[in-house]
Amino acid sequence: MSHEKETRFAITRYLVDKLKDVGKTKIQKLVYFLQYAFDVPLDYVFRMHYYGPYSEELDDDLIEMKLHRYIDITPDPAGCGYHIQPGSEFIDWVENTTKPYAQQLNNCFDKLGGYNIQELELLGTLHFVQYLALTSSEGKGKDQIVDKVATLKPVFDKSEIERFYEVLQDLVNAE
Amino acid sequence: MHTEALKKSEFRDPVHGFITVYEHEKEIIGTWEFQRLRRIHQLGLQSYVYHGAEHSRFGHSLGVMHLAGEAVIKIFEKNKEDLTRSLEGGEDESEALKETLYFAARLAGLLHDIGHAPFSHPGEDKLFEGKLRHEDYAVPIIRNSRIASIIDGYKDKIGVSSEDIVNIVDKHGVYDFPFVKELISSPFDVDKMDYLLRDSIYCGVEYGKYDLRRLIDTLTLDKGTITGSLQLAIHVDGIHTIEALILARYFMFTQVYFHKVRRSFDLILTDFIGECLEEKYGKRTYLPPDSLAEYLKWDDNLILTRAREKADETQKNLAWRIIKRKHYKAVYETSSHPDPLVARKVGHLLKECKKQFSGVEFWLDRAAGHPEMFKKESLAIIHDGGRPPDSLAKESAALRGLEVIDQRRIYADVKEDEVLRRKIEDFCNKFMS
Repeated sequence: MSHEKETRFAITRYLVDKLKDVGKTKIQKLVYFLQYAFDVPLDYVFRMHYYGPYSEELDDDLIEMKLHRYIDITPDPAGCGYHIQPGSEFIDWVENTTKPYAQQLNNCFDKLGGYNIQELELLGTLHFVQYLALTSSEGKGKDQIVDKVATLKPVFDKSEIERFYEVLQDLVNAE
Repeated sequence: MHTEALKKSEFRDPVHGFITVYEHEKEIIGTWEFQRLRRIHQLGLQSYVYHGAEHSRFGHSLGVMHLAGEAVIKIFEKNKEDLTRSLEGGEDESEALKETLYFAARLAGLLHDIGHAPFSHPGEDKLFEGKLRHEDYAVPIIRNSRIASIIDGYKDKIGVSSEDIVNIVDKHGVYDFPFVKELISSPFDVDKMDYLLRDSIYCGVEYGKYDLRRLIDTLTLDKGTITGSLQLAIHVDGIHTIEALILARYFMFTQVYFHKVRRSFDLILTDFIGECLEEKYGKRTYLPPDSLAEYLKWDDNLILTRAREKADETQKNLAWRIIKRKHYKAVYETSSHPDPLVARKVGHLLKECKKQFSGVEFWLDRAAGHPEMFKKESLAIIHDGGRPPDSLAKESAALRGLEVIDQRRIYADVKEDEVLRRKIEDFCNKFMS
């Protein structure tokens, strides 16, 4: 297994061990922020998807980890997504591989652990539009970013988007 | 209505019958960058297994354009109220939006594959630098060729700019109507809808066939109970057509895309193209998107011409293998869904083969990570009335039984020595038993 793949698997297994039972969307958002806001070198490519930034490679890695039994992925009986839990195979290199990123992992949980999935989705979308989305002729000031996110996520009202915009600036500037 | 004002042509297509092509689309099709797609085989050297599989990215791109437009119209008509909620201009503005989305989806469909490398997918993960893939060339091609100026020149008539198309096609793009992006690239996109049928017809198999008309008819939008944004979904009446699409994808993968001879030639092609690139640039990867003119010189004809020039029977080199259809042999393969312990053991088998037969080159090929790999995806199922959406994962018993394909194969370059091949096969079978 390549070093990159080992790092990815170790970080993901760490997240799953910590959260015990987590959905795919939350894993996608946490990995996104670990990579872009906390500088953990996971090198996934993300695009905008239903619930904010999404990486198909990460989804493929989750499938591969399931095949190895490093994690378990079971569909929710009510049809609402998936449950990812630690698998039956122990990965002895998780601890050593995640050690260099211990501080980033702790910071990520500190700063983002209290948000629910919709809030993480909103934060992720704001970050993606601000930092990754192609620049448009309208520019990338606060108003333009908030307006764009309001178009993409109409369930959130503008005041909430503005509030989370400020949360994002604090998060990014602190790291 | 601009669709009536624009000049139209009709292209005959083996999959969809007649495909309407509007004047701006015809101009784009006439560009050098688009015509290059005639010289990119859709399925690599699949024709070495199914001799009819000579179709190109050109036909497929026209097919995707056609389906994208049809799908947008159907979806718009069913969801007009939600899509036009923020508009103030009444019926005229509503019709204008429908046209804009129609032309945007068609153009994105037409251009989604414009950055493909020779023979399409072989070597996708080895022949590009770093994380680059063929999709990363699409945006520079659109922006830096006549294509952008053609689109922008028609903006008043079609309501779409070149940057709109860039935002739909590019993974980092954000488009105000995300369902259009999903139609072009998602687990249930029109790309798959076209290529499954097209590949099936040209290969002469039945596996990839499903009820396309019914599927397009039942596409709709989900209001996204969590996000509120309008996402691609299917009406409950279409659940069996989606099941058929997913099954088609599953069987096309196992029988066509992951066929052992096809995969053998993918390995050979990847290595040979790498050699050609190294001769030209000193490295085994295509130049990055800022060297677009060089990248666009590479097509299937160039590779096959080089193969013909370099083929050497005495050396049995890669070029010879391509010209003479002499593939590496699969000396061991697992089932499509091997037990994880068996799958892991194949890795050990590879090491043992290399030790035991030290003069022979071996490769391990895995289904996981293949671009057309079958994965289980979900989609919202919309019911009439106020019943909340269900998910495909929950509704479809047929799909619950399908598992991710993780087949693995070991190939060996036995230099056409059948005795050696049988020896290696026996060794592998004993080791794995």
